[in-house]
Amino acid sequence: MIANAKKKLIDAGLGVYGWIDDRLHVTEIFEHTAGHHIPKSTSSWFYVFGSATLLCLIIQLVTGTMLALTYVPSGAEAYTTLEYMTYEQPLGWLIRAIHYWGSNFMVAIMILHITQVYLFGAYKYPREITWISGVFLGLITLGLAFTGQVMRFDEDAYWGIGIGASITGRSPVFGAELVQMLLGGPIINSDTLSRFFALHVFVLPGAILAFIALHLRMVLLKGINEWPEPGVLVNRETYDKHYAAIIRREGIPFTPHGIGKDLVAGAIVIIAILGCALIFGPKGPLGPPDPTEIAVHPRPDWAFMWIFAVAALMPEWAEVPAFLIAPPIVIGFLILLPFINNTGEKHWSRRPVAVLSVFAIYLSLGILTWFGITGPWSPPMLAWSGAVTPKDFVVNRTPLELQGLVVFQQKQCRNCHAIDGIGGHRGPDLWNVGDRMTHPQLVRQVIQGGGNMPAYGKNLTPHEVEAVVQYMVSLRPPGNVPALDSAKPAEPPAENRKQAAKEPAHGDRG
Amino acid sequence: MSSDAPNKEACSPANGGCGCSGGTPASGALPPGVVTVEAPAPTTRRNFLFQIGIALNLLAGALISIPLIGFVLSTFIQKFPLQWISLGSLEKFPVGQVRLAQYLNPYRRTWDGETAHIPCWVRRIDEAEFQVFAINCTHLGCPVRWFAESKLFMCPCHGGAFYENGDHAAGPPPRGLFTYEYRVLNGNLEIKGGILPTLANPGNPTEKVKEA
Amino acid sequence: MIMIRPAFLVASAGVVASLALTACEPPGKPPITKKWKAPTEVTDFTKLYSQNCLGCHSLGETSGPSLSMANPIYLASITREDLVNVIANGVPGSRMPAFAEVNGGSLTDAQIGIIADGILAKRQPVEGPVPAWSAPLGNPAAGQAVYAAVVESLKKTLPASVFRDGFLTNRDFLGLVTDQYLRSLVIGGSAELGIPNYREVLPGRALTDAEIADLVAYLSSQRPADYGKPPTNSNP
Repeated sequence: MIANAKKKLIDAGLGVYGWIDDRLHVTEIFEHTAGHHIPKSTSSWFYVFGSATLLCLIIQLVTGTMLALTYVPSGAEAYTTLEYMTYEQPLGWLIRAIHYWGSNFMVAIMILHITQVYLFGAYKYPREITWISGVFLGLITLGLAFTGQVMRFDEDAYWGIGIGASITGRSPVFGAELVQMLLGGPIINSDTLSRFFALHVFVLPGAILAFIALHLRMVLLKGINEWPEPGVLVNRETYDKHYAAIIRREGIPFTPHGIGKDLVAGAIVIIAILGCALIFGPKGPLGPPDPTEIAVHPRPDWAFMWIFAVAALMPEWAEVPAFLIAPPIVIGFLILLPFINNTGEKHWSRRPVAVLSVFAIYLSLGILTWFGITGPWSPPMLAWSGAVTPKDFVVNRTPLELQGLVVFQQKQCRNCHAIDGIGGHRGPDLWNVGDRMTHPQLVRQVIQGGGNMPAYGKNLTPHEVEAVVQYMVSLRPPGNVPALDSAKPAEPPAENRKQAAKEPAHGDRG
Repeated sequence: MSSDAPNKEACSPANGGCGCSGGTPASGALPPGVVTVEAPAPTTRRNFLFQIGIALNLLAGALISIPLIGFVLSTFIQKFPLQWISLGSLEKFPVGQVRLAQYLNPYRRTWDGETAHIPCWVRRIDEAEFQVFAINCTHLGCPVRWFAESKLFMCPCHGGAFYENGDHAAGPPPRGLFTYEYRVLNGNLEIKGGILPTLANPGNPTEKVKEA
Repeated sequence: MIMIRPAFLVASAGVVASLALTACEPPGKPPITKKWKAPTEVTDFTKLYSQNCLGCHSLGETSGPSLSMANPIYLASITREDLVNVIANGVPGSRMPAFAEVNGGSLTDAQIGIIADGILAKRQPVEGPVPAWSAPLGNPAAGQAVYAAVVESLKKTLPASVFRDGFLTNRDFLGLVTDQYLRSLVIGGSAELGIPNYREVLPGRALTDAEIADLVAYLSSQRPADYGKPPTNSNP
C-alpha cells in the first residue's frame, strides 16, 4: 500500500520533470555544463580556488546590492549614509563588514587561483583564451577593489583619489586632461565620487560578469587542465587527442562526482567571511572626506599597500617608469604569456623559472606590503609633542643635554627619528648616535642636512644646535666612548679611553 | 531528445570534455555538427535588405556615438580657467607666520558637501608679500602639515618635507610646493585657484618652478 | 573511532552560526564610541595630554626632559590662569610652543582648559607654604654663594658627569631657558630625574624665598649677551 503510493508519487514527480525538461531542455544543459566530464585528477584541493573566487563575487553582488539600498553617492551624503549604516541601521554594519571581508577574500583567493594555474601550466595550448580572460578578470577585480575603497568615502578615499590624480599627472602630453577626466572636473568633488560609483556599481560588475561567462565557456570548451605530469609535454598536434584520452580513461562528471571539494571549500570561505565580519567588523569609515581636516594619515587598503611602498622607496627618476610604463608592460606580458610559452612541460618540477618567479613575486610583494603597513617613512605627526623618551635616555644628563632633548622634541626631529624605537622611522633611530658620529659631524648634519634630512641651519640658534648635538653625543650605550674623529691618530687604549668615557667628546670649548 | 544522440557522441567526454565542434550545443533545432554557411547567392531582396540594414545601423551607431563619446570625453576637453577667490581679510594672517586658510571650490556643485572646501597654506612674509601654497604634497598629493617650530611642511604619506618658502627639503617629492598666484584687493587676500595641482598642471603659470 | 554524521555537523554548524548572529554584540559591531570625532572635539584629558605634552613633560609615570607636571610643589605654586596662559601662548624665549588655535596651534580654548584642569587635578596637599610661582630676581652676588652650596650638596647624590660644562651656568643652557624656568626648576626639582626640590636640596633646611630669588638672579647674570637674538650661525 505504502510502496504503491510511493511509486505513484515518484512517477508523478518524474512526469512533472519530464514536462519541464521537454520545454526547457534542462537535462541537456546540465550535461553540457555542470555535468561535463573532467579528468579525475582535477578533483583536487588545488582546483577549488576558481570556484571559491566566483563564490566571493556572488557574495559581493548580493551584499553590494544591499548596501546600494542605503548608500547615496554624493559628496554631501555618502559619508553620512556610511555612518548611518555602520552605527544605526540594523545589521548595516554587518553587511558592510561582509562586503569588505568578501572583497579581501576575493582578491586573496584569486591570487591563489592565478598562482595555481600558473604553476600547473594551465595557460598553455589550448587554453590561451581561458588564461587571457582570467588576466582581465584579475584586473577588473583589482579595479573593483580600488573603486570600492573610494565608495567608503572618508578621508582615506579623498586623499587616495588625490594620490591617483598625482600619479595620473605624471603622464606625458595629456597629463592635465587625464587628471581632469579622472576627477570629472578640476578638483575632487561629488562628480569624482559619482564616476567611481558608476565604475564600481555598473561598469566593472557588468564587465566581470561578461568575462566570467567567457572564462567558464572556455573551461567547458577546452576542458579543465589535467593534473600535470613531469615529462608529459604539451604538443599542439597531439594534445587534443591526449586530453580526450584522459577524459575517456578517467573522466568523471563534474557534478556530482568532481564538485565535492569545491563545495566544502566554498562553505569554508563563506564561514570565514562571515566570521571575519562578525569578529573584526567593517573597515572605517575614518574621518569625513573634508580636505580642510588635514590631521590625516592616508593609507590604501592592503591590496594596494605595496604600490604605496614602491612610491616611497623608489628614486624620483623612477616614478614615471614605475607608475606609467611598467603596468602596461606587466599586463602585456601576462596577456602574451600563453603565446610566449605555448607548449612543453607543465609540471612545476620541470619549470624552475616559473617556480622562482612565483617565489620572487610573492616575496617582493609581501615585503613591500609589510613595509607599506608598518610605513617606516610615514612620520607620526604627533611624535614631537607626544613621544615619550625612555628613562635611560633622560636621567643623569647635564642641564644642557636635557635642553637638547627639549630642542629635539620641539623642532619635530622626533617625527622622523626614534629614540630607542619610540618616534618616527623616516630617519635612523638615534639611540646610539653618539657611538657613530662625532660632535662636529653632528653639527654639520643638523645644520646642513643631507641624506634625506632637511637643513636646520636657518631655524636653529647656535644654543639650540649646541644643546641638541650635546644630547646626541650623550646617546650611546653605557660604557661606550663617544665616536672619535677618524682623521686624528688613534689614542692609546686602556686609561685614556676610560678617561674619555667620563669626559665630553669635544673637550673644553670655553 | 532522440535527435541528439549523434551530437552526444560527438560531444562525449572522449572528444575533450564538452567541446562541440559546431553551433551551440543547447540548440536542438539544428542537426549536429552541421555548420550552416550558405553559398554566396545573387543579390535578392532579402540580401539587399540585410545589407541596407547593416549600413543603416552603422550610420545610426555613429550618430548616437557622437554625443555619448562626447559626454564621456567632455571633462577631457573642457577648460576650467583659474578664478580669483578670496581667502578673507589680511588680519587673519600675522606677519612672519604661516596659517591654514580655506576657500570654496569655484567649480563646486551644490551637492558637494564638505568636499567643496579646499585648504591652502598662507605664509605672510611681510606687510605686502605673501606666499600661498597648495595643501597637496608634490609627490602624491597628500596634505602637508606646517610645523612652526622647525619651520617645515611635512607630508604624512612618505615623509616629504619642504622649507618655509616652499622649497623641497627632504624626501621623495620631485619639486617644491605648488603655489597660487595671489593679490591683495580691498584688504582681502585673493588667490587664483580652482584646480587640484599636479605635476602636469601646477595651477600657477606665474611661478618659477624650482626643481628638487 | 566515532562516526560523526554529516547531518550532525551541518546542524551544529548552523546552531553555532545562528548563535553568533543573534548574539547581541559580536566583537566586530562597531561601538558608537568608534565614531569619528574631529581632533578639536577630543575632550579626553589623557589623550590630549599624551598627544600634546607628554613628549617633554612627564606626568609622573614616564620621564621627560622639561618640568614634570606631577611635581606637587610646582602644582601647588602655579595658578590655573598662569598654566592656561603658558599652554595657550607658549613661553617666548623658551622651547614651549603656543598651542592655542589663534596662535597657529592645534588646540581649542576648551581643550586647553581640559588639559590645565587635568594637570591641576593631580595636585596633592603640600605641608606649609610654597614659594610664589613667579617673583622678581634677587641679588646675583648673593646668589653665587647659594649656587656653590647647592652644587656642593647635589654632588653627593648626582653622578659627576652631570656637573661638567658648567652645569647650570652653561651659557648655551642659559641661552635656551627663561628665568621663570630656572625658578620653577629650583623650587620644584624633579623626582623623576633625581633632582631635589628647594626643601631637600640643602641638608637640614629649605632654601628661603630670598635665596631662591638670588640663585635665579645669579644664573640669569651668567646668561650670554646674545640671548634672544636671531641666530648668526657662528657655531663652535
